[in-house]
Amino acid sequence: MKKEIFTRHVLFVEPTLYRISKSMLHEEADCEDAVQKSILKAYEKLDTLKEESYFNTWLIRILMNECYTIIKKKNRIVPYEDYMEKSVEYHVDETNEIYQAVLKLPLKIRMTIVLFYVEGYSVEEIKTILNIPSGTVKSRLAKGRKLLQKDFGNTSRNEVKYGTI
Amino acid sequence: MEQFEWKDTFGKTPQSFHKRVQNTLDGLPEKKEPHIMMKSKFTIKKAVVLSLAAALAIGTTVFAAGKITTTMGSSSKSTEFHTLPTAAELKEKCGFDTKYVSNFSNGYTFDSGNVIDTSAYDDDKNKVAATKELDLSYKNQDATVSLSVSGSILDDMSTEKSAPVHYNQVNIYYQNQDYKFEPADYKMTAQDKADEASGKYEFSYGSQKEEIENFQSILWTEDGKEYNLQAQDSTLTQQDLTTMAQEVIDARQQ
Repeated sequence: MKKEIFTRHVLFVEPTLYRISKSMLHEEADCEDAVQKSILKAYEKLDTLKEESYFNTWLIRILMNECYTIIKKKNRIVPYEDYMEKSVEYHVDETNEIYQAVLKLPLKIRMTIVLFYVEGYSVEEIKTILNIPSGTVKSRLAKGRKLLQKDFGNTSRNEVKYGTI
Repeated sequence: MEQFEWKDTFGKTPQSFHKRVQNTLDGLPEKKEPHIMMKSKFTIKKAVVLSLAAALAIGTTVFAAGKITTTMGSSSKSTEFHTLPTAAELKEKCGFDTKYVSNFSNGYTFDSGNVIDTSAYDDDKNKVAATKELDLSYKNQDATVSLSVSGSILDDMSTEKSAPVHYNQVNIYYQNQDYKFEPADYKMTAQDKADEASGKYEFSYGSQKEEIENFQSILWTEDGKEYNLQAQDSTLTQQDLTTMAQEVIDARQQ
């Protein structure tokens, strides 16, 4: 794959890369670091991408690994829960009510919810991205929905479309 | 009944994020193709060339000879520092002892620094070496010079064309070169090829538009480390830069 095509693919998936990193990391600067390292790593390992059609899910997986690396480093300084707690506190406007609720979800459940509902990936695609069995994807979605319903059950936002699997 | 749009929850992608993506993409080397031209005799902080305001430092360098043909570096804004750390703190950051100064006698004073993870690749894109690089910037009003110290010697000084200046048992090499940075899809003209052959310009790809920049570098190796004092489009002379390099060589190893 030429640089030009690689660039086009990355720019196409850029909003997803932002949302994924923002789901996992609190600081904007951390998100930027993660995406930079992911792009460099992806370009370096481009030969390992078997099919171009898997580019997006492949890059998302690389990005998530970079985010985990940053989380591990941050964890040495401050517990991840405290780190993410800041993120929830930051976004106080009403439009981010659901965002705050999503950020309160445990990381593994949160990422499954984000990939399914926000990014629109299927259970099978999420299974590949997260490298977990499809049953685990489904159970995480179910847990996530329950937690979100609990959060929104008595609010004006109880019309949130949870969807089905 | 209100229906929630999940994608809206994250808002629009911030401009700073997009810039970081774009700058990273711009700085990527081309995959091997005919007439892809990146080759230089010495390290260029290309990100600095592309955008001084960019939050990242990514460098692309190709050496004239030897197995290493490309180096790629990445740094994090979060590790950038604006107060010169102690020697022990610097060692912890970059993993090696180094010589440095807080200011030069001609008025250049420490402004900022960072640690860059640098990987070196051969022609087949195999990673053949990796090292950390300490990057210190010094300012004198609006003018900037950078001192980079690499923990390993990746460059082959024996290929330098200029005769070295000997100073305290150290060979100091000087390089002065005009560079033409071109967009990724740029095709060389006949004039470009002639300019490259004559040494008038070195060509490099990856910028958004054509840019011509002059780089002066002072290179030396000492105690297994590679030092590069670099000025871009600067009024400093070879002698000025050599004197500055000598001040670093005279500094006590920290």
